[in-house]
Amino acid sequence: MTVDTDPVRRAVETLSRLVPTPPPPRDLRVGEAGPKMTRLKVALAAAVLIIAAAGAWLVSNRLVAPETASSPLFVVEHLRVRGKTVEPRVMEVPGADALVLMAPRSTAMGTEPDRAVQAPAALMISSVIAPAGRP
Amino acid sequence: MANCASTDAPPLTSRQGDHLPDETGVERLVRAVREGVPGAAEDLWAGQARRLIRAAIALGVPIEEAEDVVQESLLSAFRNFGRFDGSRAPFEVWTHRILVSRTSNWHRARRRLGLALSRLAGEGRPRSVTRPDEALEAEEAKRTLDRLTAGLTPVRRRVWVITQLSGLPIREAAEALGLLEETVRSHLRHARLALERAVKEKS
Repeated sequence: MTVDTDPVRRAVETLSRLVPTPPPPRDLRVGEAGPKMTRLKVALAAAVLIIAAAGAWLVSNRLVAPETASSPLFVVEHLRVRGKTVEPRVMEVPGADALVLMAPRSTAMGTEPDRAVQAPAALMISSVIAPAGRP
Repeated sequence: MANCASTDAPPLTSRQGDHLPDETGVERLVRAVREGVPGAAEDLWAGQARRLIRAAIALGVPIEEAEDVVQESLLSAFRNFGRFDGSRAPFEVWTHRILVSRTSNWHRARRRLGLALSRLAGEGRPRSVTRPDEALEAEEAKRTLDRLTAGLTPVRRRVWVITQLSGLPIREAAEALGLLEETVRSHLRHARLALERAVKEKS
């Protein structure tokens, strides 16, 4: 079947004549051949390295759950405020050698705990749970 | 046009000695680029650019954008040259496949941005056209092209452009468009009918 599509071709030719040929860039870079498997292996190795680096960073920055009662270094005991035992909040201060225990603010207001935790965490407790606005 | 007989041959880089008798000019250039012959990449670029500009315009890219679309396509083709497997399909198929993809992206972006932005960018009045008669000729040609191809679906338009305008055989067009050969034949038949109708109506 003969189809007269010359008007379409003529229109395309007319338009394309008006378009300058794009020149190649001065530093035309031709990608070199590389085995696909090698590229995949490199990508995989890079991903493993990134994940390992992220894990190492997390460990070094101690972004893990603080060790609590099961730790052999710190034995968390109860806090007693106004003669009552309260549930302490256990905090970890990066770089410190002790866990910090804080009594709930409502119960700690104006009161010193009569029992804290073993040293050296106890050294930090008095300053941490001191009520705001009081010495 | 690339010779189909050469597609079953081993990769061009493995060929030694002078040019093989069935090797086309493009294949020779591809081999020269792989062998690092100075100037071969530029020659290959220039040979593909004109052809791709025609295809881009026929695929609906306005002339003031066609140069950029073709340049991006060729840059992508050369950056990924190492992945081009000449034993599967000729280089023209590779470049046309990239062009079709870039053109589709361009149309998608244009739809997102809207017609208003396209008008702001000066569509229909190319920067390279300075003479009034050229501008008129361009506008008339664009109107004709738009009117005649309005009845084509995007895929039929691609099939018609790649087979009839760029001259790729059905098998290579199917490879470039990611379609089955039978599907390409069917789309081409419908595209021809639609264009024939449009031309008759116009005349």
